[in-house]
Amino acid sequence: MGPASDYEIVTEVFTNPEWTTQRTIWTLSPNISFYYDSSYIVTLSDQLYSPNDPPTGLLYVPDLKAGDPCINLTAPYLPTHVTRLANLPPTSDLPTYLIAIAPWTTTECNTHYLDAIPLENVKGFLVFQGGGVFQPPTADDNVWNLGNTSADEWKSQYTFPVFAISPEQAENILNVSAQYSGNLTDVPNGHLLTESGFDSRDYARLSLTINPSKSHPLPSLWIFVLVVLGILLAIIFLTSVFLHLLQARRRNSLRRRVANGEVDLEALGIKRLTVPQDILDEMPLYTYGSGEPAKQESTTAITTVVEESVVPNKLDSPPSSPPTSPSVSPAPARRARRAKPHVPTTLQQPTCAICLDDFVAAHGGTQGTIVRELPCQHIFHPECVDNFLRESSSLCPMCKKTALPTGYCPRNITNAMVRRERMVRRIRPRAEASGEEGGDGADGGRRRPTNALARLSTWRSSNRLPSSTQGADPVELTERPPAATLTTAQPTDGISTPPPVQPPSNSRRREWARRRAEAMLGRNQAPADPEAEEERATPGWRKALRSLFP
Amino acid sequence: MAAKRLIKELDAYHSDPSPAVAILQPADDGDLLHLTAVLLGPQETAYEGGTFTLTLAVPPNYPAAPPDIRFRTPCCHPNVNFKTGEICLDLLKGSWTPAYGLISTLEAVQQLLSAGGNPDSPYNLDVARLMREGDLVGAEALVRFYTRLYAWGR
Repeated sequence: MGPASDYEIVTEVFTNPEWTTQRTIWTLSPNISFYYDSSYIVTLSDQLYSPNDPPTGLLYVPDLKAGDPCINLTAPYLPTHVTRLANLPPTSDLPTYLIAIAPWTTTECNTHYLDAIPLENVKGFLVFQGGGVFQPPTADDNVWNLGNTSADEWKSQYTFPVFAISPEQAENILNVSAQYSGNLTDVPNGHLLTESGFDSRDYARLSLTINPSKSHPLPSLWIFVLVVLGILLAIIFLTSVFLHLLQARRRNSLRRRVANGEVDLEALGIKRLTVPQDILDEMPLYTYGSGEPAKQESTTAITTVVEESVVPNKLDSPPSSPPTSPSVSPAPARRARRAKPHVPTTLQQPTCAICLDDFVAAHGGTQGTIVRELPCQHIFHPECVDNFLRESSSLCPMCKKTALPTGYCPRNITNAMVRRERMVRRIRPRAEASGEEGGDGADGGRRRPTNALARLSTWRSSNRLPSSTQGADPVELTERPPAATLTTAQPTDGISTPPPVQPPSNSRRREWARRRAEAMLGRNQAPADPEAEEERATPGWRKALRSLFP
Repeated sequence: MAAKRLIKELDAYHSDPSPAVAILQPADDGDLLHLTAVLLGPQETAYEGGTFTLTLAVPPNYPAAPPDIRFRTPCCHPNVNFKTGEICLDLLKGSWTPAYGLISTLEAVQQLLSAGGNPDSPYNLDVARLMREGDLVGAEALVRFYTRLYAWGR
């Protein structure tokens, strides 16, 4: 229900039923007749007003009953010859409807005019009073009250729309209306009209149309835009939900494949894993050479255990530390496995690859070095490898095989890991194909570590026993008795000039190494986690987009 | 731990020098964590005859973390930044393991020179582009020119 926005007055000529039964109506061109339009109109009552069927009709002033004092009262507003009902053919013969116009004066006269308007044929009522030169008073102005009754009351009483225009405009219109109330020959340019073929008995009158607000089609455009936006948002939302579900499935699939041991997250460079303490504790710990299991029983930090087992009478060990009790151990199954004496593999490295110190076998009064054996059978000092596995990486420093049990899966499988795993899966067949045909040639950095590792082992073998690099040659090495290994591994160099930073005593050195390793690892976490690296390198908008469309 | 291991590595190097590394020593006497190395250009490559000075910054948690190795002598290679001397080698980043040492890492760098590098992750766009477009003669000439200009006769 849009209010009226403007009105338009044209001059129309219609046939006189006196000479023809044909009801024809012409609209005259503005240059030989009256034309006027204005947007200064206020809707007072929208009874039966329909924007789809805008009120239109011949303009006339209603007649009051003879002797009504209002005739005189409103006379100043109405020119003498203004178009009245008498100037029009009988309403039954009219080819069109009517629009009434009258001044808004006293309550009594207003009521009289309203009552004088026949409900049929009249499509609207124009009143004028107060306001500015162009702008009539607003619809809620007190001017439009009718006596004591409220504005709403009279509006509901009369079932035709009522509009207001300014008195100045009404005066102009009524003056023109007075010119277009008589014979066709008397109207302005009347002779032209008769010459152009109109019958002199025809009527030339003003016709007024009240147009509905032009802003009316605009809301529908807004609604259209909103609907389009809504659809787009819905599509975005549904796509996002779909992709989240898809990604959740992929995460589960990756988790399953990791648990089945099909995917090694760290070896593929997808995620840097570390080894939790309880898994570390399950790895065998024994005395180098003899293979006698170390006397450690529980899940306490391994370095402390090592100290206690190696130097039980150490002076600076905290006296209050209680002997670790077997009851602390949480998993009985694990206990059972560890209770079984470990059979050390005959594949024995002479040195720890992390600190490059030689292992010492127990003989005579000296205590043998306690070593930690990883699942790939490489051995290290526990204080060297434990920190590394716990803080840096789960891969064996020697052969890069994971120290984690098969099927170990980190708690969080992130979307980034899924993405990297998919990328690796896409790239790997291609890389393998190119690697086979190109051999070792020009594909540079990616394939370097194996080469470097191979070279490392040759360098190592120049003064020491070859250490297995890929776990590929244990068969060859098993032929060698461990004793032979040990003799070759006797330090021949480097010891003669003790380094200044190295503490003299073996036990102290160990403690010193442990403290130092812990202090250093706390500061500098390395090597970098590929996932963290990616997280840092990704710009913010990309992250936001990924959270929406994973 | 880092210092102790570095001393062992240096001792090993002195008793059995690597054919790739001419010099490996601390940059100054007080600081073991900053070293200088001189790498020989690999034989029968465009780098032949060049002696490249490198600096090695060893992190305090070495060998858990890789050393930071940079060329000081400008080196024309697709995976080496010509100005800063940074080296794009996965061994120096994610693929590091404590079983590598300084010497083996330097040998890997020499191998990177002789292998020609990977033009798909370039630090040096000019030579990488020549290689990628197949102008191996041009790339080799460029490398030879820069090697002669900066790395010869030192």
